[in-house]
Amino acid sequence: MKRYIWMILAIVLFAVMVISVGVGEATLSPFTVIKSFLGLGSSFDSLIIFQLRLPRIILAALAGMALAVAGCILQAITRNSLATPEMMGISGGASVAAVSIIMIFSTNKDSLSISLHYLPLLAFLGSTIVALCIYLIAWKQGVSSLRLILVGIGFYTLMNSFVHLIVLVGPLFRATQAKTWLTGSIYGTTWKEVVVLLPWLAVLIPIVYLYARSLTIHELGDNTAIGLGVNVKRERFILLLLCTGLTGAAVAFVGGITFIGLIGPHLAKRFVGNNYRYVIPVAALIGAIMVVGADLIGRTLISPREIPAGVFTALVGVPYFLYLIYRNRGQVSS
Amino acid sequence: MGKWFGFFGGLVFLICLMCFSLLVGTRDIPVEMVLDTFRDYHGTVNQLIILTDRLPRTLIAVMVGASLAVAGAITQVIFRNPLASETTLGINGGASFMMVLSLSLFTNWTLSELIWVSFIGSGLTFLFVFSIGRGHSPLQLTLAGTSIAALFSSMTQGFLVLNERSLEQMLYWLTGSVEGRKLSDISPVLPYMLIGVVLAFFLARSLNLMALSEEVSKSLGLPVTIYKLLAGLVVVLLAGSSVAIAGPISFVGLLVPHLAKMWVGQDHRLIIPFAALFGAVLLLVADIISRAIMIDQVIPVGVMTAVIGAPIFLYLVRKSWGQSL
Repeated sequence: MKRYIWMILAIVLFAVMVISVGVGEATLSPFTVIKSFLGLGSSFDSLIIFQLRLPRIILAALAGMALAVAGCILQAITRNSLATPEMMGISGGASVAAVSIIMIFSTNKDSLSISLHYLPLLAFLGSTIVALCIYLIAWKQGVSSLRLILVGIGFYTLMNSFVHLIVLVGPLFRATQAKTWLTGSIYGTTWKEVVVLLPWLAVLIPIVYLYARSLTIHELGDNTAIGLGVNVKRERFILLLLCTGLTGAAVAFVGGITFIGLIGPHLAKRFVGNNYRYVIPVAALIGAIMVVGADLIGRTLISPREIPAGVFTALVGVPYFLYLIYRNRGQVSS
Repeated sequence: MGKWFGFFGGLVFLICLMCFSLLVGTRDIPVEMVLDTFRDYHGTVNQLIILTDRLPRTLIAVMVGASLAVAGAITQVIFRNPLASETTLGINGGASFMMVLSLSLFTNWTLSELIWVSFIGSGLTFLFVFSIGRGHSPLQLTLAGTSIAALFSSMTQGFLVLNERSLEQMLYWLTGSVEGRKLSDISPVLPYMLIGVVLAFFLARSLNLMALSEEVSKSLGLPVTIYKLLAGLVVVLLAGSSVAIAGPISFVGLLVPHLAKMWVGQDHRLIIPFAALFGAVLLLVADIISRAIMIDQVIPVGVMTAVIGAPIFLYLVRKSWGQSL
């Protein structure tokens, strides 16, 4: 069962994506969708599927994967199952960078005057700067995971208000764009965004996978990790960078989608145990399913209007989070 | 005794600050003209600005700052948690969400009706956090509260996006602001705040006991749960009315009680008046800065409190909480 869970999840993901591609202004049956995938559909169907809907759905899936894997890393190195990139302000740093770029460089036609490739790069820079600040401020003869989280919460609030500040100072027509972006939305995606995001994941996720063993050991505690020959300080630093890279890349395109980094790794651990070699792929799939699903609901619930996907991930995420809190009652935080 | 002298000194400072606040803004209005507004009122543009913009926001900043700080001090005792506050536990967020919800459903409601919605929102969130809060370390409770707050803020955002509200309104309900309220908006809110603060004074002695430990207060004959719920009622009154008039302003309730404790020690009979004073000063200063910092754009005061508050929060984490939690 454990071995094959990823296959089941992959099938679920594929199914959700097919449904999501089919649903919209013109509804297409899953059968039509698959036929178009195989290159047998009518040219009209193919246009809708490949040009209008598919990029958005693929972007949603990729972002979900990135956020879930980033969550895996953070939970392992803080050894706290409640730490996520957004609660720690790391997503916030990426948001601040991305919103500033949208504000400064967008043209009157809602497009950017600089290459789209800079967006994830600068968002990565933003989240890395925040992560380093958190690390430095939490440093006091070593970094305790408790201080790390508290400082992170402080930065979370600070970054939130910076985003609001930037949005407010910028001209209004861009602000409308930034407004939807804040809540997390994948509105109006084209293949361009997908092509920019994909290489980041294609490079970073395999590297994270190479560190899977080290993540598993990290979670056992510093002493055990050192005893097992892990260079804790160096690896923690590298892992943190990987985490900010993934978060930055995802946040640059989907904005404030929350709770994926929490639920993905958690559910994955319930399915496959604590070995990150299994946790990482399963978490990535769960993250992808969640974002694609949230986007699907957001698009269809009161169409033609859209509810940002971030609202639904939060609606699923918070009850789960509270359940976790409830279950861990009476335990001292570790 | 010396502490009370300090208190009155602070009060004088606050009054000076309030007068100064009437002078700050996008338009330069000389002191004599400000005084003329109260001596003989003609309805000139300058006088109108003072009466409809600067005076209300000054008063609201003082009221809300004091209420939030007192509510924060009480919350920290109820949850026996130095990181607890209306914002970190999502109480403000709940009130704010309920306000946004009812604003879009019942468009003709006025503030005196909306304030009850705000009470319901903050009350339900309080009860919820109170019921899950037992047996948790402060850190876990804070994380839980922060995530509830995040849920409310994202639902609020979703609602505002749906209703195509303007960005100003959106930020108003997400970060809080004292702008754009009239003098007449104060009267529906003020009574609840006063009741809350007065009740807080009456509770001060039992808060001292509760802050010691549950066992001690029980053995001294204090019905702890009843008192906690009573204290919770005060929090709901103060936080709910603050949100109704100024939105969910963050960090005042979290930080000011700590600053007050640094000043006067652990006695809540002193902490509550000092927290009220410091809260009023902090929010007023934040508002003055937010008006003065940019010429053509007023920053919501909630953003400003976060910008001022976050560094203090980080300092406190480094200095003390790192060990004590």
